[in-house]
Amino acid sequence: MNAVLRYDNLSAFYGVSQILHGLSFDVPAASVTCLLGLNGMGKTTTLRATMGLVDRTEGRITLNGREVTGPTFRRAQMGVTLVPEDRKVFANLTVEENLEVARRPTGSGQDFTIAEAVEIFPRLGERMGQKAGTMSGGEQQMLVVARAMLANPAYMMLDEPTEGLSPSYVGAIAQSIEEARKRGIGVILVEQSIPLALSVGDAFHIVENGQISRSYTRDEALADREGLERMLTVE
Amino acid sequence: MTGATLSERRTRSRGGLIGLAIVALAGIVLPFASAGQPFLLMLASHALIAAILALSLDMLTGNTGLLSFGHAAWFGFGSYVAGLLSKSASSDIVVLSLLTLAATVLVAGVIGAVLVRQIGKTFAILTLALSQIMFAIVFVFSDITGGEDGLQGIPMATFLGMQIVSPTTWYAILLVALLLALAGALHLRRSPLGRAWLAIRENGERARFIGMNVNKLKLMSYVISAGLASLAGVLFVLFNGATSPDLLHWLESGKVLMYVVLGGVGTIFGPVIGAVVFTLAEHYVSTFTDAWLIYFGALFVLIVIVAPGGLFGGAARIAERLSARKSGRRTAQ
Repeated sequence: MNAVLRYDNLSAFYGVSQILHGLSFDVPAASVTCLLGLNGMGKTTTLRATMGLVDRTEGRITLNGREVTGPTFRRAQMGVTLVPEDRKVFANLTVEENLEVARRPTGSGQDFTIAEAVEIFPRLGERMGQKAGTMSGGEQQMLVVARAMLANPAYMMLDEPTEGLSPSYVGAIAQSIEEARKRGIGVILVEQSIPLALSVGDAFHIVENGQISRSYTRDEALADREGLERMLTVE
Repeated sequence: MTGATLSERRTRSRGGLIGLAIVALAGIVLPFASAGQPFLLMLASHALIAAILALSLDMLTGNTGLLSFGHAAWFGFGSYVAGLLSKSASSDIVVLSLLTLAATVLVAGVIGAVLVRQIGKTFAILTLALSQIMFAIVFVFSDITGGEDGLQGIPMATFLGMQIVSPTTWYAILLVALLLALAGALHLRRSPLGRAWLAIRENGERARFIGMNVNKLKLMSYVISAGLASLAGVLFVLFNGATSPDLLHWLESGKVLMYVVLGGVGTIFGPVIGAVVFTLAEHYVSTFTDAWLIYFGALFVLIVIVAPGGLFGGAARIAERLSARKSGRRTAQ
């Protein structure tokens, strides 16, 4: 069986309000799946539900057939990790300590190393001894992505990683997503920026009212770029 | 870049060694300086015990950010367990330390497992409740514990069959104990476990995202901290020849917290300095005035406002700024 992170009829609730209404999609390994849609439609909730951060869920999330369940750290140990939108670094630890602490060796010999992280994000290399909290927002975003990759996840979820970043940083983020795919990591990308999504994405799902309203392959998305953009604009 | 980091790491570990050497040197010089003044040596011995106790709280609050208002619970627990065991089992200081440590790990493990699930204020309040419960237990079982009179008549401690009599020997034992505790704390800080603790202190949720079992790691910190506090209790009861419920009182817990905040939370050396300064100052100031706590209260407030990093944190910040200026000049050249 091919490695896959599968959302099977997932519903999620905060208190009594239902945010996700039976969402189903697959994320194959070594691919980038983009969740697109207007704000408040359930994209972030999908990611949070994967980490066990909503009050209640129905339906199933499975990783290679095993149900993703239990406390957050256990899900992370199973191989799913989340880089949330607020990009919080361990502010009083140095950049190097932030990376060291995240390392979760798999013993496969294929582990992502700090040196490789520095290759993708040279800026981090220059800042190794600096307290992470004193870096710019873009640098901190690089650090949280690098930190997530050092945990050697099977699946990495990025919530609007380029929001508010300058174009040079956006390039580095795109490169890290490519690198993750090359290493067999499945990526779920929640993104407002259509250009970035189109440059890295393999599959595109429009999330609307807690459901997948439409899905595109890469070719379909490239062919109907305008339609896609229209769908993501508030009329 | 890697070179810079490595050299920086070496500097930091050298900083730890230098700190240890300074503490050791100051500790060794004191008995000579205090020759002919036995009281001074005793005061210094109490300061050393206070320093170990302060370091134990820093192992919790400084590492994981968990605030304990009842840390004296484990200080008192250690003193009572060791005191009772010394009357029935053995008077050997090592045997008593190991037995008490085992008892503490067991009890603190169970209690800690409940406590670390609580966050912030709830945790702090529960630690306060714990120390008051232990305080009450002493009175409930006063036929064993001596109640308000405390546990008296502790047999003289032995080490390898020899009685520990001389105050200088006691002082040496306490100094070695503090140095070992400091070395252990420094080692832990640099270990992966220490880094993980700091990550939790910074942001527990992100630590979970990268797969850390936050509750388990917090529990380890709690048990290690309680264990060291109980060892301070063992040393206290054997050195002092008696223990009393005062050790468990929240006032004692407040004092320990003051040592740590005064010295600098999470700085390892800071709380040790805080404890020594506080213990000495407490003695000397209280000979001038009965209202010494007012002055300490004012000092405490001043430090929290002016130097939130405490004495050590403030000094480190000044040193950092100076060395940054120096290295800045070096790069400029």
